[in-house]
Amino acid sequence: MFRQVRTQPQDITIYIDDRPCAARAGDLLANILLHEGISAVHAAPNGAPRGPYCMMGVCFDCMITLEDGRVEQACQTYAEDGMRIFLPVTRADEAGQ
Amino acid sequence: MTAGSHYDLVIIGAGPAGMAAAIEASEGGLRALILDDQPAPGGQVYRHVLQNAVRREASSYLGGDYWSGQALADAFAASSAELWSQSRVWQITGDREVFFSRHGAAQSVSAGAILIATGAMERPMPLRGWTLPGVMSVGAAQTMLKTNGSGADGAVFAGSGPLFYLTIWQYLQAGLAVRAVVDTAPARMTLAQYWLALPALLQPGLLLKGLRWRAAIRRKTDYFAQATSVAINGEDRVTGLSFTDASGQRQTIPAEHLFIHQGVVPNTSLTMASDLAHRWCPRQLCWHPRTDMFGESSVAGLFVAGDGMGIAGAAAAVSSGRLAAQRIIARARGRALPMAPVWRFLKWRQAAIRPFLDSLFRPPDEWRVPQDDTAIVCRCEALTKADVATAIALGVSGPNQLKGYCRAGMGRCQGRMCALTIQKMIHDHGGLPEDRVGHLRIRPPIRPLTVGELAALANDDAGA
Amino acid sequence: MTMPAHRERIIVIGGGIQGCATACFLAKRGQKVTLIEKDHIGRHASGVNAGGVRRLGRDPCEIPLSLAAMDIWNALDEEIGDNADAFHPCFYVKVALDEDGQALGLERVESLRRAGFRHEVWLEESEIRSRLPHLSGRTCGGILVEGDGWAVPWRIVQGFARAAVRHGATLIEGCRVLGLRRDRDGWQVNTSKGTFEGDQVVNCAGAWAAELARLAGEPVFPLSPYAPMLVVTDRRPPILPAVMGVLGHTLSLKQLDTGQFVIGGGVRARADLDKNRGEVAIPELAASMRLATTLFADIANTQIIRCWSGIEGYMPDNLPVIGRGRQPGLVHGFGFSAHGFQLGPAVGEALADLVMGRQPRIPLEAFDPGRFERVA
Repeated sequence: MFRQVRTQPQDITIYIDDRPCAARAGDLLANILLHEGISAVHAAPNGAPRGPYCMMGVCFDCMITLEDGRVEQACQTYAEDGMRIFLPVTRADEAGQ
Repeated sequence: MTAGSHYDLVIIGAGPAGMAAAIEASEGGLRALILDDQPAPGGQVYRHVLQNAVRREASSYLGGDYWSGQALADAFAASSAELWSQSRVWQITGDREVFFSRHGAAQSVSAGAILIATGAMERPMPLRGWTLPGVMSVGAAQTMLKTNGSGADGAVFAGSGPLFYLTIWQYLQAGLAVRAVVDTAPARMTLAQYWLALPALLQPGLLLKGLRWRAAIRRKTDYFAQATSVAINGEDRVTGLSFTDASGQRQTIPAEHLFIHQGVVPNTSLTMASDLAHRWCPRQLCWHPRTDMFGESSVAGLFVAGDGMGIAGAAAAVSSGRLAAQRIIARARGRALPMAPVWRFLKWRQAAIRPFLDSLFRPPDEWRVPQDDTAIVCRCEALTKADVATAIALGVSGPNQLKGYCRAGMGRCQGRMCALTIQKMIHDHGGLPEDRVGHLRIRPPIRPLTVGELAALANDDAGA
Repeated sequence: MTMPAHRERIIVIGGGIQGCATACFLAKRGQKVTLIEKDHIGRHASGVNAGGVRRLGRDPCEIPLSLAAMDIWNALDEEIGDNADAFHPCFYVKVALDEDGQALGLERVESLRRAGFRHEVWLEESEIRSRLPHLSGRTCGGILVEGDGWAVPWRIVQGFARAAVRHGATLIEGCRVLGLRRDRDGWQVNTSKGTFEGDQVVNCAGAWAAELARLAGEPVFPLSPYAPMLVVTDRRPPILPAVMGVLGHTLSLKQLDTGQFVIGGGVRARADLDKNRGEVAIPELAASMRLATTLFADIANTQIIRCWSGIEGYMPDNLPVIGRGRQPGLVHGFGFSAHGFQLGPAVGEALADLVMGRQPRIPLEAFDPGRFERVA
């Protein structure tokens, strides 16, 4: 289980698949997902579940969808109040594979 | 695009090399700009340092080496060099135009000289099961500690190397429960390694620190030495780790979170995409851009500094950043370089321990090419070792020709997670030396940009 | 190099689709063929193109060749076996986005009908929309061809190369031609891997074909090397069941079976024949990207993960050079100006015919090498 070792109040709300989630401004999205127990965020071409691995933007396995439809790396996205993100990347990933 | 933005020096990366170069350049009267993809300076090693410095005691577990980055970041902030954060550089052109994306818009700046200081990344570790959710690199664990102040209780760590021991030590300092440490380093040093360790005595503090970390880890965790035949278990997510211990027994440890590490390699995406010449380093088992003593690459006006030119650590990165900037200043101002020998000596001294560390923590072959045929080699395209081996057996001369037979290297990560593996597999198959096998051809954009961002460049009058 | 000379009947130079298809047809007809390639099969234009398999939009001179090629594409498994599944038939549509485009399109369809060609059909906006329900912008109609499609280029070229070898041809990669000499008995081809002797030589050397012709003592051909650029995006839900272009523009837009979009624009960057690579000038693709987002608004959010270019040879009139050379025993097949991929199978057949002294069933006068009357 992930937990905070640096105590700091959670001051904002983000939405993961429309579910509200308390968070701290400026936190890495990929890390927040892990705190929520989400280790898998999308499917590989063979259908296997994938999630954050490198936390520095080189593995491209932490893909999430932002509100404007862009697919982004969760480890390159920082939490802002009211932010809405969606998993998995596209519903068609499930349908197509 | 915003035509007309020109800087004497554009630095890519705000880690120790980049910041040191920016400080030096601004002291030398040059107009310098750092483009960095994170919201604040520090690179990976000093990630989030200014934010954490506001309340040091809350992150004391990060250790003294980390905090030494604060002075550097403060000095950078106080310098006249500019910083454009959250800027993802995706191309450097032959006439020194740097293209990047910032806040959803593609832009460019032109540069008199460019310093690529994009640092290192962890080497690919294609063990069976490495793609399972819950498996992450040790660097990821450290990044989460630094940025979110977050860690996983009950995690298992497997691998070896300086970053491995440092991160576990930081975890223990933070009070996180470490389930087990599975160390793949050899227990005894060879005679050659004792010899290599001699220059390390130039930096006795480093050696002692490493020994101290390792002793603490042995004491405070379930520690297994000399682990081989490591395999990660699980179907939809990691459930545990199996390995053969020092006595030859097969062990299995349950784990919900697993962190693995076998060293770091220069992140060569930008240097390769910019057509810089590289050479294979058999000691570090990775590619280094070819540079002169100041870091100037095979392309005039393009410099490299820091771990991106060869793994040497943060202190050496500072020295190499200073050296590159001094060279650029001297050329711009027609001046001599009186301080250069000092920085060159410092850099040499700071990097002297490296051959010893490279030898001691050389990644085992089974971590470079999987033993298991079903292990994933190309993560993006979900290709196994068997898939790639079948294509190699058709007779390829290198990783680029391999793309004619399978999609390895053609996914989102553009070979970052598989190029070194494929290269070794081709070497193993045909016997061609790795430097002759070569690296996957890397082309811009080295970071993704949207079709819309690129389309927006057509709205401006100014041509590229 | 002091390697023993080998007596070969026909030497095909160039391992792109033209050379591989030619070698395949010659070998199938029982000829003794050696196919030599300086890098590896499909390394250049044939491996990096947008993969369009189209009859749509051809210069009328090329249409007979294109139609003949399409017959071979539709029976591709007979020639190249398993790799034939790399060809994905689908309709090709070139839409008009304004009145100028519409006028161009209507005139084109009409002139083709007068010449006896009916493969290009004009569709009104409502028909376009029913074929492409996800289209964002309004069109002013467009030209449609049923049964065109797209293919994964390197797999097709591999297919022809392997078929050639299966029929008995010898393939030598990493073999660069250093000199060509005609003597009493035939041709002496001096390469980095030894000297080959042959009765005939076929020049399918792509962007390097003019240099090869020069080495052989042929007239100078006005061939210019350029590097067309393409981007490929991340995977997205399927919205485009066709290959698309825009009348009056050079956009090429398709969506692969993986869901990735491949977008090209006929934009040409500098090519370096010695370094073996084309530059990638990404901002120059901006206009094509804008067109793509006009057609499908959703594409705007899609991430470009890779851009590439390759070296292609262009002729001033954008028509290839197909025909016998000045000297006996030399046949040319090059200069496809970034639209030779679909023609490949028929070009291979035609070149094989020329080599064997047969009359090709397709008229080739428009591609006569002699139309460029400059002497070396």
